[in-house]
Amino acid sequence: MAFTSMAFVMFLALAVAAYYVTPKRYRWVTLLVVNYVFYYFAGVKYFVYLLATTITTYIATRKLGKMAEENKTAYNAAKAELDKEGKKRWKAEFTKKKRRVLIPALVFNFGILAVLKYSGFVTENLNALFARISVPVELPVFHFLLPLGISFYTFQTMGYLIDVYREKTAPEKNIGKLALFISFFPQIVQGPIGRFQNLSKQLFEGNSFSYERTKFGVQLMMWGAFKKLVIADRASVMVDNIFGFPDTFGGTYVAVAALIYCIQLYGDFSGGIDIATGAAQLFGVDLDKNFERPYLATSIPDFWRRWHITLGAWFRDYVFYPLSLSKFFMKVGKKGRQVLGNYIGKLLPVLIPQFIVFFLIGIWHGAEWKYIAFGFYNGTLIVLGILFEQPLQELAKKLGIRTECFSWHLFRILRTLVLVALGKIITRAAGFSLSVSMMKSMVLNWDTDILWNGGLLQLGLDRQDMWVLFLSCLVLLAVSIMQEKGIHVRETLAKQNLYFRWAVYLGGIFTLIIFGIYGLNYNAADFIYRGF
Amino acid sequence: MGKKINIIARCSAFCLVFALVFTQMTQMYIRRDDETNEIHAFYGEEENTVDVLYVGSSPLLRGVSPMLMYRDYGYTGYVRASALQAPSVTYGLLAESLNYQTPQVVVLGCDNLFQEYDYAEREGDLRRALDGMKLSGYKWRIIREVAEADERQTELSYIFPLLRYHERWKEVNPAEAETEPLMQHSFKKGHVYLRQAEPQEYPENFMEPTGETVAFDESALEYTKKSIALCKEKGIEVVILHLPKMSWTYEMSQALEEFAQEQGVAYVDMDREEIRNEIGLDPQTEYYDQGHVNLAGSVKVTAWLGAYLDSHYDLPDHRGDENYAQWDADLAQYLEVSGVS
Amino acid sequence: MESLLKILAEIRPDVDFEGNQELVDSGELDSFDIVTLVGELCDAYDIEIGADDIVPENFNSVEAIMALVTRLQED
Repeated sequence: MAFTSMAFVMFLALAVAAYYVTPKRYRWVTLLVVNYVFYYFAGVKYFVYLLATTITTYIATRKLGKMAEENKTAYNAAKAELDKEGKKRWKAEFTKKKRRVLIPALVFNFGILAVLKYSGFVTENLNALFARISVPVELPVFHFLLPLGISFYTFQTMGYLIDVYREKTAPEKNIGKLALFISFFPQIVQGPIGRFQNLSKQLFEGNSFSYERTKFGVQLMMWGAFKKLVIADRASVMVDNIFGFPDTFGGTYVAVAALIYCIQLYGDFSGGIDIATGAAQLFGVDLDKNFERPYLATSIPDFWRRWHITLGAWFRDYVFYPLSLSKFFMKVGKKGRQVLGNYIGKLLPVLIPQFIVFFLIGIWHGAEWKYIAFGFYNGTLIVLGILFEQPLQELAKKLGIRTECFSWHLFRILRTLVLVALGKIITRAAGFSLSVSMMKSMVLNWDTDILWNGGLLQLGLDRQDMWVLFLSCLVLLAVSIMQEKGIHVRETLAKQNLYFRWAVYLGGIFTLIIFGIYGLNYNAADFIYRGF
Repeated sequence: MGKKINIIARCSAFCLVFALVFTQMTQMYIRRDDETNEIHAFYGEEENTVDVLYVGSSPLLRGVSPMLMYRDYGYTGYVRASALQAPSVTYGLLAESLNYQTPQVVVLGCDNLFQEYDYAEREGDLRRALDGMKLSGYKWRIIREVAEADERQTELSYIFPLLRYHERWKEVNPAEAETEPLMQHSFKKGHVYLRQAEPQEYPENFMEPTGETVAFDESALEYTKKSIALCKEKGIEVVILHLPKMSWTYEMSQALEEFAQEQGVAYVDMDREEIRNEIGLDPQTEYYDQGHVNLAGSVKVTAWLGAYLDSHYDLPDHRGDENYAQWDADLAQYLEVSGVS
Repeated sequence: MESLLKILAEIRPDVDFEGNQELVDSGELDSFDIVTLVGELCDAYDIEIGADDIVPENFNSVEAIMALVTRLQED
């Protein structure tokens, strides 16, 4: 059920009605049933995976919770007799014990994801390797259909598991409530990846109906649909043409494609997230923020703090910190300082885990070499950014460049955008080598004439569509700048007088109906991020 | 409490404004085919005033003029036909029409019996007919069937045609767009004639046995049987009518006649030699293309058919009846606009 | 407290730490700074800071960092 389909709208309306009809105490049960009905539409056979994750997580977290309780009692009893070393040892012992529960659960659940998502890729490449070195072995290659939202719900659930392990949150005792947390339908499709601490109360306590909140939720959904149907699906026509025929469209077309693809991907992904967030609001649930105007970022790290925020935060909390604070990397840091000097040595325990994180984020997007390349591209940019930060600042000072003004800020935004766009070429091109040749062609055959001589009109959009795309992007930019300045658009709008408000609402709805790309001639492309 | 009422009132008002704008937009962007208009204008007829109802594919709407029959014999008729009408649509249109009118005779165009109807290929033709139909159980059943057969089409886009035609924003100039609803009253009574002539020639050995095998499409057959059964149930006479067409064959004609006999209904084939001679169409000047007659041809076809219906059925003569004054006015307009004398 | 401020100043000379209550939430300390800081703290105070201690509340102000250090020293 695509977010922009009528089926989804109707499903959502029924679900909301069912939710508020139910007595408050049982609203969470209704929500769970609704989630499972939604998941049922996606394919009944996928329930196995969802249930496996739910049950194993439930068992592991309950066990961890019980262990923590027992440990606390025992520790308090023994505490007085322990010296500092003894306390340390006690802690280490207990951690080891907890890991015996944590690790099998992690391996099992990430294992499902890995097998379903990556086994095809791995066996294919192994076979290619065997063929090259003439080993007469051929592994069977399986390509599985991915259960709906498996990348998202697995990460969300494992985050919860680790939080219980870290005793950040108490384990949920009711398996039904845990199942609800894992399967909340607005967010299971494409995130955001939620945290138990944030969601549990909102999901489990019956929320009262609020007219204001519902209105805001619907508005946010419309805004998301605008980004998706009017902007992203229109932009995709051009993008598909250029990337589909890289031999025909080289040179400046590649730059155009990269830029338009940035727009498409943002419209598509953040539009979907807006719809999910708006839909969740109808149930009184506030999801975590997933985007914060990423294209206004001033550096690559800044971009990753604004793009797909919940994924970045997940990797930061559950991969980056544990890795960089591990004994191993602490040692690496100390060694590094002795060998490479203070500045770089200190950075080593940051840089290497950062690289690993970007490698993982890369393959999270898909089992293909190009995503690995994408991960390395971002990792490299960040590392270079850190290494050259100080020298560049000094250079700027020497050249007398003022860095506190708008033009410098704008320069940083555009520079970041260019770097991001180049990265997008890697992920969008049909393969990694193709993306390299496209970039080569961009540099060698640069020809800005196509921007003026009608070359842009050969990409499947006519002049009228181009105008709609352009004006829609302006609206998007204007709203983004307002938000960046701290203006709450919906709240500000709500304060205007009725005629103006209604004009805006009607204008918005009919823009969507008239200029949206949907219906027969256009196959409203499924959300790009859904496959991940 | 007061606040709640306020909110509900405001929401309702907003929905009302939205519905108004939506309707206007629909009327601006909907594709207005003549046949869509004619099918829609059927609702404008007084209830129970139509004596003969015609449903089926395009030869009917090009060839049959109820107005001329009214002029000559005084009984009334209406053609609810559309290009390549799907058998399911024919059945639905017929069943729906019978809620508004109680005709004595229903004339079915059955050429579509031999075709497998592909809903995915024929979206445009489906819309031509369905856009003119009000929403009803009959329409709903058709669009359900269409949406099930072709996943690209949705029921909703048939109920709210704007969802289909919104992409016409490029070709429709808002300043010049029509904002009227579909046609409310037709003086042509569904006769969408064409004036151009394309010279035709009868194929060699036209309507002579060749031994080719012809077969009815299962689904089409089922719908046609349902149509006939419905008429029988309501005590309505049925005529299966074939209008002149160059690609017609002896075997098709035979098959259709057998079917009509089996069903116990009348069969009229205008390509059979004896009728062909009586009508006396000139292939050089009276065909629009190989499958349709033009206006001049339709005058001849109608003259023959009008006489046939008048002699075989006990149809009333409403001329001069003041309840049918509108028909007299429509006739005058029809004759003036078409130039038929 | 003095020694902590010195460590912080070494890592980020450009940030005014005293009185700031949302060092992490406002984005002034990013994950790199935190990792570097944790390394320094572990050395200076002979404590172990694990990934589970890395929550914004523990690093949002100088007082919070100090409290974390004290807690871990006592534990």
